[in-house]
Amino acid sequence: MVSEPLDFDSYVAARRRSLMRTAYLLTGEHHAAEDLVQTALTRAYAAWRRIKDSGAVDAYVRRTMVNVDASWWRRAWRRLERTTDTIPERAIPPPVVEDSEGDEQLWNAVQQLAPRQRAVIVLRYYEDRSEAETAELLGCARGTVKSTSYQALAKLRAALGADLTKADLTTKADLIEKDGR
Amino acid sequence: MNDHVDKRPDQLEARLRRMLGRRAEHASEGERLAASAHRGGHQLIARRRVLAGLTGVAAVAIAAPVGARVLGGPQPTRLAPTGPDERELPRKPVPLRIDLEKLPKGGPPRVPYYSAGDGVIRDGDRTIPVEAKPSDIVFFAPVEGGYVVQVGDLPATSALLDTDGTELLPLTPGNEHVAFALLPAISADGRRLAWSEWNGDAGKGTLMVADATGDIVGERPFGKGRYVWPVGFVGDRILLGSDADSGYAQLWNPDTDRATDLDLEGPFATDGSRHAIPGGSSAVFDARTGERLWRIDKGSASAGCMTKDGHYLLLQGGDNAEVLYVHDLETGRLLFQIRAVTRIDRAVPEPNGDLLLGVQQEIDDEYVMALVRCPVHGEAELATEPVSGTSAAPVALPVHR
Repeated sequence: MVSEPLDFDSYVAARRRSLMRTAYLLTGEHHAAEDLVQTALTRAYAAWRRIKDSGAVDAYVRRTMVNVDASWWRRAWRRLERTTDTIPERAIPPPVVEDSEGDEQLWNAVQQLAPRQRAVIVLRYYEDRSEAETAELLGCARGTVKSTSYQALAKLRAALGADLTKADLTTKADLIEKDGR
Repeated sequence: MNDHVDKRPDQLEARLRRMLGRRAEHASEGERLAASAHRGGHQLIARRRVLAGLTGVAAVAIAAPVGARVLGGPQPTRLAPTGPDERELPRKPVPLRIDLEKLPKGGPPRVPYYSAGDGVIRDGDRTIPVEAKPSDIVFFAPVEGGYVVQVGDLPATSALLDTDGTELLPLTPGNEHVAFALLPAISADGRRLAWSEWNGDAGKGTLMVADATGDIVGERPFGKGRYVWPVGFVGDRILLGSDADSGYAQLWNPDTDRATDLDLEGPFATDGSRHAIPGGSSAVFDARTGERLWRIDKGSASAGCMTKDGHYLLLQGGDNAEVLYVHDLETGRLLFQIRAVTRIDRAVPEPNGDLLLGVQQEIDDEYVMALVRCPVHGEAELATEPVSGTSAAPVALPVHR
């Protein structure tokens, strides 16, 4: 977390990579991730005088990111952006990722979650936020985070089905083997 | 709970942590973010100042004088004057600003609308169930004896429903890259609909025409990678446009299967007697003679639509479609320049000529939506209470085509 008041450029330089990672997990797309971070930083820039001394710049930017991404307005706008009669720019190909533990299937399942559910999953399991912190960032009650997380995990389990059991057993077997037990 | 159920969530959570960590490594660097945010931030500050100024001029609503014509924004060049007396026009531009937090409550909508929270189309006293989740985006348009409904974003499912919500005819969605053409075009009397079925892999498709009862009455294949879509009905004939060829414009008669080429660049809307073409110089043509009636010389507004009653041409502007330009179709005069705080979704005229808007607004980090009535004479008011929801449009007005 950034605790000292910074100038805007220093903040971006220090947090850019971290923000992009979270945005990529939230959106699942490189262009959308950049767009999301840019939107949050643009708002932060416009409000910089107000937020820079509060010691909560990072919280402000991340709160903006998760809420903007979860908002239906933004998703609707993305839909409209697809309405074009021109040839789209060449898309960035998806990253080639070694498919450890069936990552691809789990990643796809996460992408299928509702935006709010995905935000909870990313904040809880990537950023390692507590329920209280996640609730603060999402602007909702702690109980809502708990129930949203429960629903999201249930969806993921349902999506993975038998594969989850198989992969978990494999992982468990590997661990046992590594432990020499 | 048994042991099996207890352990699985923990295993899943551990897998999630590992997977997300590995995935995050592949995020791009975002090297240009600071510079872009500087530019965007400056623009945002400037825009807020402009909005604050507009609020000072005409907060919330404008009581438009009887017969008033509102000026401002892109101006038309009238090439064939046919409109109202010039003396009715106001001398100064009068912008109209919509802020959902400040509008008074008014009467309910006088046109059908979709309520995502209830999953129904509300049409007067009637409610028509739609098979959709609350998070689904729903597009719909009334036809005689029913509705055409599209559920979902992409992929979408479309169908012709009767007034009980019973499916009369499933419709195959068109080309996802031409999202505005997914819903069928509907004839002025609501008795016929036309749409394009598209096979993207084969690069070809079929124009389809059906009666509102669900009977197919015409088909015409098209192909060569060019997606042809029905812009709208011109009497019994159908104006066709193409996504890949801006010079493509034909009038097709499904009864005789004869098509006539038109000298029209990229038509996007028709009310049967006039066609409109988009761009920085939107223009409206007489459908019978081909004569250009008027055009808008300047402006950043993008293509929109004509209202079904043939009164208005609607064009959207602003970075996030927060501005709606409402032109008189007869003369090209700008009637309203409506600016919302966040975004205007769609606009539909009510039977008495009042304009109903779907307005989206960010309030306390939450996006809400309401239908807003902009009377020609009087103050803007809420036709529905602002609601939030998981759908892109918790309340949706019908689509014009």
